[in-house]
Amino acid sequence: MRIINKTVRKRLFLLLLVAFLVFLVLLGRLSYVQLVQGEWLTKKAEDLGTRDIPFQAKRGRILDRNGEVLTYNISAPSVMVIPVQIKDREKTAQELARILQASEKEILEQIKKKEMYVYIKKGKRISEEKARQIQALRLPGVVITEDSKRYYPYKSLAAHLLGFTGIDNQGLAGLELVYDERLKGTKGYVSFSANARGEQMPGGTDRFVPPKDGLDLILTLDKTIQAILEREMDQAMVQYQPESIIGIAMDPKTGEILAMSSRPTFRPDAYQSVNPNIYNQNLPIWKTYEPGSTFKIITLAAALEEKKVNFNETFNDPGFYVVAGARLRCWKAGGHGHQTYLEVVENSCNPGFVNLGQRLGKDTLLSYIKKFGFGEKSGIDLNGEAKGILFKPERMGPVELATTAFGQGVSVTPIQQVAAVSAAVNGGKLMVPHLAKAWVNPDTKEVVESNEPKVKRKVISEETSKQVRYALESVVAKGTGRKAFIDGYRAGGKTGTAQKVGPDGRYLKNNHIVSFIGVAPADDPRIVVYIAVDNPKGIQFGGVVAAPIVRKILYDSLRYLHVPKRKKQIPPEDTPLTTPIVEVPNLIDQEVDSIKTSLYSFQLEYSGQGEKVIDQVPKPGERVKKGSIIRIYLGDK
Amino acid sequence: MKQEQLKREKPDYWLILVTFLLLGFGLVMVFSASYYKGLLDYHDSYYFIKKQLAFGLVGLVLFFIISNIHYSIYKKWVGFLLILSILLLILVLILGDETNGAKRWLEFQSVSFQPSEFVKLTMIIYTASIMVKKQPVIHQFKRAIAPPLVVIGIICSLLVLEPHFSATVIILFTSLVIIFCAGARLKHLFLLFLSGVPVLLVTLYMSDYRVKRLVTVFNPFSDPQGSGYQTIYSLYAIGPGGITGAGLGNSIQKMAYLPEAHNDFIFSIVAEELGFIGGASLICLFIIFIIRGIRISLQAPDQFGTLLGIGIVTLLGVETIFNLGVVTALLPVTGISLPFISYGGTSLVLKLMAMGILLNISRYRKVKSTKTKQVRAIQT
Repeated sequence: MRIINKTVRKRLFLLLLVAFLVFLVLLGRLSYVQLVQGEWLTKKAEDLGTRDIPFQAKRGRILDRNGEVLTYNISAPSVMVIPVQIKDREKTAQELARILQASEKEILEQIKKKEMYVYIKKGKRISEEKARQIQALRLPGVVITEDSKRYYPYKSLAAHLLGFTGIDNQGLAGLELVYDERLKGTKGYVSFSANARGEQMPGGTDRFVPPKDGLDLILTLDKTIQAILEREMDQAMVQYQPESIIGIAMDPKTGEILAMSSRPTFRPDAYQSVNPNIYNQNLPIWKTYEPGSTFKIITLAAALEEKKVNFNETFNDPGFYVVAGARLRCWKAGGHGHQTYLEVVENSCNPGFVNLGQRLGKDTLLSYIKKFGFGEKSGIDLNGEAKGILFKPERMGPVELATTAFGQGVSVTPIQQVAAVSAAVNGGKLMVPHLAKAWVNPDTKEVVESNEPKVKRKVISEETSKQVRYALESVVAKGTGRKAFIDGYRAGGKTGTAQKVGPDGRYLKNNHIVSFIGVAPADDPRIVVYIAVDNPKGIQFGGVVAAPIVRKILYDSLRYLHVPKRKKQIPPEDTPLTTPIVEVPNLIDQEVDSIKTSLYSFQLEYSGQGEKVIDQVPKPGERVKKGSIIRIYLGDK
Repeated sequence: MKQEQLKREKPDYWLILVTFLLLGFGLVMVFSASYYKGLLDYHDSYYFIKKQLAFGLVGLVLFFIISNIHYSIYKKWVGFLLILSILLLILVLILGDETNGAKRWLEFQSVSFQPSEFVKLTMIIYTASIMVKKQPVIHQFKRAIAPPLVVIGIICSLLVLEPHFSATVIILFTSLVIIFCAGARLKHLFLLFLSGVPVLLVTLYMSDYRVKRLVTVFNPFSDPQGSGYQTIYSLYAIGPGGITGAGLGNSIQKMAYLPEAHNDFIFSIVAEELGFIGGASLICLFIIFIIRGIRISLQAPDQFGTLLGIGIVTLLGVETIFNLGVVTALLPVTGISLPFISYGGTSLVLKLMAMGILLNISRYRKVKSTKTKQVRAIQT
């Protein structure tokens, strides 16, 4: 008996020890939950939001620079349920499923949720008709609420820039995503102290916290210029059937994006219907490729700034240039022969630019390329911007230096080119391209914040910039950019034909990105327009495909902006491909017979009867293409 | 032996004090936690507390009566109690009220009775008495351990049929502790434990909701709508309590957010309203009870008293540990209430009766030279 007692005592003691330890663990756990996690749990418990009914804030609108609304909200009915108030779940689910044409099981699952309120998934933004049907059922715990829906009145206009929103009106892409925080505002609440069943608690107080609506976003974009740009891009899509087109229009002095688009595009309100790559890749800032000859503007600006060249020097182009034993060919078979350096630019002569590159040396050329913003993000307020790739200085031999000078072997984005060329022509300041111009309070219409143009750095002098402008105007008036010539607007520009690198790392044959960057007017640049057409059908040459598109965009935009025509300009050189421009003579008061014998270069169209001209269209002194029709009105006086 | 039986001393006043404190604490908390639910469900804030008070009174009377009945009397009634238990368990399967897929309650007019509470106490008495009887053959598994296991097995299978797993586990655990303290060979107990593990795992996996519960213990926030729901709201109650709590009656979670706030999860409300100080004090009360209980068992004049006492202490201790483990999210959600504190008439009455038995054992303690030794043993 004694021995057993001893074991019993031992075991009892062991038991006590175990119990004691377990209780210590429980005490430790309690203190951990209350004293360590307490604050976090308190916050979570308060955040449950189960006692609050939210009031959605209105999402801010997005407007163009002139106040044209590009996207706003329209309201649409949505079905919300308050699960605890539902009397018959099965019947409610069945009825809702019938009207919403959704799965009964899914709805039942949703209305079984232990939450204060649940938005039925398939019941978001339904038609008025369905909403009326549901309301007519008078199901307890089922409520129709007004939910807003994003509306894009101009369909696919500026789709990549605006982006789109998701089912909860949250920004998912584009500016809607970048500025989601400020556009969406803050939710408001009606708080009433209620228990978990949604019933009001005795002695509770009500509180209304009004929602703060999101701010309206004013863009730098000009809806008219955007429409012009996109119209021309659409036409080019039909005409050339390329893989893609990229277009950018920017104010070179401020970095304000006036228009930007790419093809293929999509509709923000139906983004699900296209391949996600289309809306995820914003080509003007995302795509990187060899710029080709448009890059020569950078080499030129650097050489001018460093005083390594003047336009009157001469250069002989035999059609190739030997660098470290490699023969680099000019695009023109046989070469351009003897020419001045201004003509080198006009002709986009590769050997001439290789020579400029050598005069600069790799370090200087690379430093200018970097100063012009290549190899770094431009800083535009959009997501998904690429940096591009430059040669590393240590891996840059004489051949790489030579090709870089005329735009091969470097990889850049369209927006980098636009920003760089803008810096080259605006007096030498590299600007940060941007889309957000100002934030406006939707109620008071007061400007809350405005974005001033930001200078990234000064790259070249005013004097150099002036020379670059002159050279570019000359390219359009006399050289490869001839098809971009606009009488009186002093357009300057540069063509580009870039080879594409295939998946195997070699250049693709007969597959180019042809581009043109235009700027006007050359004496006081107001707009820079860049167009790149990827693999157009037919002739793949920047001066032929892209230049006419840029010309139309420049012409329409400048007229729309009321930019006055200039009297002085570099006179255009006639080529067999272009029609010279002449002034319309004054025919008023002249005899019909004498006109007939003298004006051989105009076609005349007569209206009315008589011997004398009483009026004419176009008016005397206007400049038209040679061979245009002049309408004259006849009368007897 | 006979001499000691006659020597009736003063009862353990510490035990009486702890019992009263627990009972009082429980009544106050049931009132606080059920106030709102009573108003909502029965339009009577006092609905639950009135019932609990009535049961408390009945329990208190039984507590004093039983504390005056010599505990050795239960040895003679073991057979009757066992048969009554089995009958009640069969009855509940036939007549029981089905709630949430389980039949656990017998209704007598307006009073409901939970047989499993009664069975728990019976099984303690049974195991204690049979282990005393088997002392001479305690080292033989077949003769000493196997027979009670058969009886326990029958009772447990009846409970599993309800189904009432938490009661099953508690009865199994309590019986094993009694067998352990009766001096069974550790080898036998170890083998028993090994054979028990697969059975436990199979029952666990038979219904996957239990597995799911286990998973959510480790991360209750993984499934906030489903199996993690109660645990999360329990933590939402305990966490904000802080050191001093929101004050008695000021719980937010009892406003129907936390289900069973007055029942299994009453400790969450204690912690929310009275803070860490209140919660820790309650835990300390239970620790004092266990220390006193084990001391009483050790000083019991005979082995039946020791085993009976240890059984009662184990029952209350295990239930407390399980309940606190669940509400603080250390254990999966099981339907074990907190002794004396949780709402529930049968449980309260039976727990008070058990306390009465323990108090009666304390009246016959051996105050001998061994006393000093025992005290030291406890303190080390």
